[in-house]
Amino acid sequence: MKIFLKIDVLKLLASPIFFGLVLGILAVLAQPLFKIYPPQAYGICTICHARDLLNWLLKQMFSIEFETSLLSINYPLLTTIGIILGSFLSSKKNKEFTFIKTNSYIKMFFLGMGISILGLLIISCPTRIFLRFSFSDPFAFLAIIGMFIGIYFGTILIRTGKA
Amino acid sequence: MMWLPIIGSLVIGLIAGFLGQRSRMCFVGGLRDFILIRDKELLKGIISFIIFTWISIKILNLIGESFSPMTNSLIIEDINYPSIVVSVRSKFGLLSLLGGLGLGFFSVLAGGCPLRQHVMAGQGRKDSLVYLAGFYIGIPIYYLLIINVLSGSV
Repeated sequence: MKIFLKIDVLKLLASPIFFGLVLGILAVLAQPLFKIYPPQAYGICTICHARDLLNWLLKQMFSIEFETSLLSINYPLLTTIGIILGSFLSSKKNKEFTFIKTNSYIKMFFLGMGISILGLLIISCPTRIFLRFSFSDPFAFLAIIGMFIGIYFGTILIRTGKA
Repeated sequence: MMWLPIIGSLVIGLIAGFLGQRSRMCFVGGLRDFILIRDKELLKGIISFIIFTWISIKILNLIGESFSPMTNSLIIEDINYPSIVVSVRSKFGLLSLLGGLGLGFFSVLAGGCPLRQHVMAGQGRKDSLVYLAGFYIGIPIYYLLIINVLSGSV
């Protein structure tokens, strides 16, 4: 009985549907509960919160400031650090933490740079695009359409073996 | 009060990282896996994310309206977004479409959306760590160079 229960919990934790449930509720609750508010639909976003964190750090150290959300002027948002830390703890706990070497470092560096620039252009990472979509933002709907077209072409490129 | 967003974002990040590592959730991988190998697992995650955000917005607004004085802060204020026709014609609409296209395309080449890359970096993937380096260097580049070019020409 106990073993069955344990397996069920592990299965639940590993299902993307459960991820959607927990993070969906948290991302909305962040607005009234944690006051992550001034821009609408800001509960979880990798690119915007990374920018806010970097902006806060640069302001403290060199007093350089970007044009960021009102929220991040006085305090940083630690979402990105939390994600890295949470995944580190989870992988340590399940003994999945390994350093994997690959050869595509330069490619990955420029992909990361390009994605952060594109993400800042439309002020959202893929996660926040879906969050904004449920807040009925028409621009997020357009971004989802664009993203699906982009994913389709990217997948074709992978399938033909050119990337 | 001031600490609330800091702690809240850290908690949300920790939960997202923990569950993201367990479920291999990726907001780009859903459609990619479906096209490549007809795997619907991650697509279900995206759909459940959309459904549960939508439901919790509706529930919060209901609760906020029925217990007005105490929990008024629970109401999520509606912003009057433009209609879909207006937004298609506007400049930011075109930008959203093209930006989303680029995000999807490059994220597939990188092997996951930014959230997934953060998770993989925490797991010890070195290429994801390099990706994150580019990711964070891209932010000042955007604000110091590209935004000036855009505002100059557009």
